[in-house]
Amino acid sequence: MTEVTPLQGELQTQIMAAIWRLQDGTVEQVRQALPPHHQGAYNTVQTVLNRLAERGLLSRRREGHVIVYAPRLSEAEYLSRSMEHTLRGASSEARQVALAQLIGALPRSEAAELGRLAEEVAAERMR
Amino acid sequence: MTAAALVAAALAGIVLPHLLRFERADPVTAVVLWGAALGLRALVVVGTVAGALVLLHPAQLLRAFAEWPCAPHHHVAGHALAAAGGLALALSFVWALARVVQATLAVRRLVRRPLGRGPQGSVIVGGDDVVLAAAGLTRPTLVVSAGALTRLDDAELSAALAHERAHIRRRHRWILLFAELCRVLGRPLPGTAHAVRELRFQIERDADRSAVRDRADRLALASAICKAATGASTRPGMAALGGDGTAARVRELLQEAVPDAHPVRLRALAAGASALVVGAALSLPVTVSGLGDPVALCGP
Repeated sequence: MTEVTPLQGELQTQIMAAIWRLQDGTVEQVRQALPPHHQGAYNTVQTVLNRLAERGLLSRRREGHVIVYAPRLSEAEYLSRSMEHTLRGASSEARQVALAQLIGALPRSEAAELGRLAEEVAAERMR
Repeated sequence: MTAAALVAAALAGIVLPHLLRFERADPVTAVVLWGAALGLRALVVVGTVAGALVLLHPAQLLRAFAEWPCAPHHHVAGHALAAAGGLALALSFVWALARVVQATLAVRRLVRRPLGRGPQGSVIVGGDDVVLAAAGLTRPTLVVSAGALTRLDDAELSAALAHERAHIRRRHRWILLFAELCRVLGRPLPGTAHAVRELRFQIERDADRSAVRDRADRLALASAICKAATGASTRPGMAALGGDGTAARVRELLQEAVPDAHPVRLRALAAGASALVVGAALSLPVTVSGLGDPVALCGP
């Protein structure tokens, strides 16, 4: 099974932000553009960049001896929330039929409990 | 089966799942029981309206309106009520169907113009929030938001995609469509909205279990659900999606697998409820048409 890295998501987000600022860049350029507390090892950044490329968020091209990574979608597209926008006029019932989703509605009473459960899940995954 | 016996059996089938506890039940059995209850709700309402319209013969209906205000007021009121009820039911059914088709087409357009191709044949849509969905009815597609691709780690993404694949593989979309149409028809009966919520919850539980059986990491799935739900809770537009019980699902995933409670008894009840729905649907036209002689009832 894949090694659990609780901060993986956070690092991925930071790397995407860095790539958008740079337009494109090598592993070292991206690593230098990261906030100091996220500037991990070269290999870590390279692994995350490759993962993001495999997930379709980045493109890779070879320039000489180095690989240059570039975003496949702009920051504006990333933030566009197109699904929400597309279904803006649809009733919640129609949305539910059109989309079988990962999550259900989250009543306000559940929000606090879910926060506590999220901590419990994270602790279990760290074991 | 007489009309009275049919109604009594239908009411028993409707009430049954409200009296049972499904926390530790097999979700498929629970889906069947809630689905049967919803089908019976729809049949009861349709049967009631159809029965009223049969009792109040169409010719009598037209005559009562034509002779108004000379005709006795209770005749006109009775006919108007039955006709209005039938019309409202038919219109709301068509309206709900149209909204579902509209939403499905909108999603299909979005899927056809994705921002890119994601993992496992999914398509990427915009959004910094964690959204994963099985979109569409006839040709469902895995949809993943750009936010999900950055915020979820490998195990979470894999488990969440397994959950969505389970929705597709197990054809949950057709159950959701059935539930929505039954919700519209059965709306006059109290508890219909609750039954739909419970059905959706059990469908999500079924997808969770199927994903775990498909070797998804249950803790990673629980973590992905938490991340998706935490984002959705801050956005009213998206919080309306799906059913209740997100926390209950996470709690269940946190536990080691426990055996289902009363599997044989619940399966027998589910089989009985399904048979009842089929029987009621088949006998409804005969029962309604045999309700009585409308001419004799309304007078010459």
